[in-house]
Amino acid sequence: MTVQQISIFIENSAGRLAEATSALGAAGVNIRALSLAETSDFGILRLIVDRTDLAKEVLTKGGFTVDKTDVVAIQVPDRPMGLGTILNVLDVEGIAVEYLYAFIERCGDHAVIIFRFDNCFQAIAALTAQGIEILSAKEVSEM
Amino acid sequence: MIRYRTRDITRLISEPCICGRSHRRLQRMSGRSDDMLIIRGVNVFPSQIESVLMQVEGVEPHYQLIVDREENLDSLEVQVEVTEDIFSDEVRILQGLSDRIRSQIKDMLNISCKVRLVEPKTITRSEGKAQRVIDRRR
Repeated sequence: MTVQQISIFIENSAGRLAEATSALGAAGVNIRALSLAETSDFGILRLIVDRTDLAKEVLTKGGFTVDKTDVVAIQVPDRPMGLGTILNVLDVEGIAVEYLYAFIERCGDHAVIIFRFDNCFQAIAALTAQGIEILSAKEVSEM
Repeated sequence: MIRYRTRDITRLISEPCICGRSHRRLQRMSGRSDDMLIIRGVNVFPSQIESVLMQVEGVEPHYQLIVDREENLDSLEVQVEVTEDIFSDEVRILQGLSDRIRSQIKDMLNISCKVRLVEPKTITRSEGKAQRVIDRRR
């Protein structure tokens, strides 16, 4: 039930982000969700794309350092306390969230948030036990 | 007799070898005297930094040392290329890596340096040998 995320090491220099995204664009890869973590020296671009393997291949060829990670796409009720409820479940179970970011599109009347956990499977088990919906990789790519 | 000044740094070992040979021996070269940098009065060999990187990363690193002078003080920046072996999607892990490199260099040489993670292939490679040191003080 995990989704594959691509992460790219980006040096803090002008135009590098444009080069990475242009390489993906030229190969016909569509970005579905993204987040950029930054420090003073470098950044890490994290992407959910429609064709993960192709994206990794194109970026590696372009000289970027690329990694694939398993993340979890969670359906979050689009109302106040929607995210809070989910985070409380994780807190009770003692599951730490490394980072999270939102999907641009909605899934029906739900928002979709990408979560990175240390232990995906423990998190998925805890959330599904509480009736929280997790999206599969197929569902995410068809959104 | 012809003597060559090779600038290799080594030591003569007068104790006999365990193989039984009694001739004096040369210790493995620790570097060359013209590779040596003097940073804030400390003798630094690029090979020492290389061994720290090797220890922290577990792989042979691509690195470059940038020596400069800031406000009359020597500064050392160690640039390390981020390969797939050491890359992570978490900032915390990458920062931990550069912190470990910095503190190990401090432990070994007692000099503070800045560690900068750079993209692969950003460090220029000349034919065969990479240019390991850029000294901007001269």
